[in-house]
Amino acid sequence: MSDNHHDDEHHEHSLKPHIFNLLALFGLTTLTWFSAAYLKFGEPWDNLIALGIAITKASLVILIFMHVKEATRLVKVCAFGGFFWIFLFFAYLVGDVLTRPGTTTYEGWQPDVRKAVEAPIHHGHGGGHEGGHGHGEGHGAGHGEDHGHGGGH
Amino acid sequence: MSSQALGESKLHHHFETYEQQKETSFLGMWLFLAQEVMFFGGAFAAYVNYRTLYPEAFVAGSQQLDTTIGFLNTLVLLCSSFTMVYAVWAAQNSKGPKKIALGLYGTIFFGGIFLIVKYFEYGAKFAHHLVPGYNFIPPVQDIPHAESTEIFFALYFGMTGLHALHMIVGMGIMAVMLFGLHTGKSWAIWDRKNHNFVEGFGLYWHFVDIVWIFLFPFLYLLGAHPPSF
Repeated sequence: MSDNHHDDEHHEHSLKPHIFNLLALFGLTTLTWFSAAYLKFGEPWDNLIALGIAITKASLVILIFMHVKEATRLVKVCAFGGFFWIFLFFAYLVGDVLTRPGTTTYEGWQPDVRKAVEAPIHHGHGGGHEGGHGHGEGHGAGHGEDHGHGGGH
Repeated sequence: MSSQALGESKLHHHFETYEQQKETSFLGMWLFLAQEVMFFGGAFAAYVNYRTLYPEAFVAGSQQLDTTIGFLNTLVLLCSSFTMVYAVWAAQNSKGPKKIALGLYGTIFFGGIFLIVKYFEYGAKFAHHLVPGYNFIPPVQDIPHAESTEIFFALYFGMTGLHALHMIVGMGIMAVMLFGLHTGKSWAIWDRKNHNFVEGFGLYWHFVDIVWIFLFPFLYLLGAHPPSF
């Protein structure tokens, strides 16, 4: 470790693994987008696919782009600890919120997202209900309460 | 021209060896990134919490984002990560300041494209009355908790805004690095022995990329386009 000469004659690092990594990341991004926007497997598959691919992509970036694969053990532990923390955090968080009265899974009903999906989508400028703002404003305030699917009060 | 011609990279006096200096530098950077995970983790936790409470409103909000733009912007950001890797590679192998600078310019270029696209995306949200606390009108009225779509957009602007802020800070640091390279500053001599500044900054830039890797599915993809019923 303290041998400087060893470091001097260190082999040339190759750019190749990084190029392959970039292509793999491109592929995974295309896959997650295509799957969510066009293939549409439905719940819970869409969410599992999207999250699984995101975790895979993050792992590739950490291991290869961030050189953790070749790092010392101390750096590896530190890097792993930072990201592992979030798994613990989310495990307890999700365990809490999903078992509370008033949330979807607790009440045993599925969220009805049909209407939310059928809404007009604003793409680019000038689309949608550009003209009807005053109307929309009055509408938005009182709504929602009548539909509150009976939380656990 | 190799960096050796300009002089050796620095071994700071409080370190015994270059190895020790490198290890110290990366350990410190990873501890900082662990802190950043906690920082962004809070925002993601808020997202999970509110999505569980108002699933329909979050789907309605997600529906207003263009997945194709998000997809293309993700590719742009991945390209910026690659150019960053190129800069680190050039420093690591003593390829000289010109190649390091090339990688940094590339990173600024792709980062800039990402931010410009984000600017137009934000502009569309302003035009369509989707900015929380400013001109918000729920895009869909006929769903439970329709008014909570505002929470989705608060999180959208908060999280993508924090992400963009991190990129702007990163681009500032790169500008300083490029200044050092072009004026031949002694702290900007990076070679095989000491490339810690470049690689440490690379870790930061890749981390910001990872944040976006999770923001893209959370905001654009999750439940955004369920199959037709």
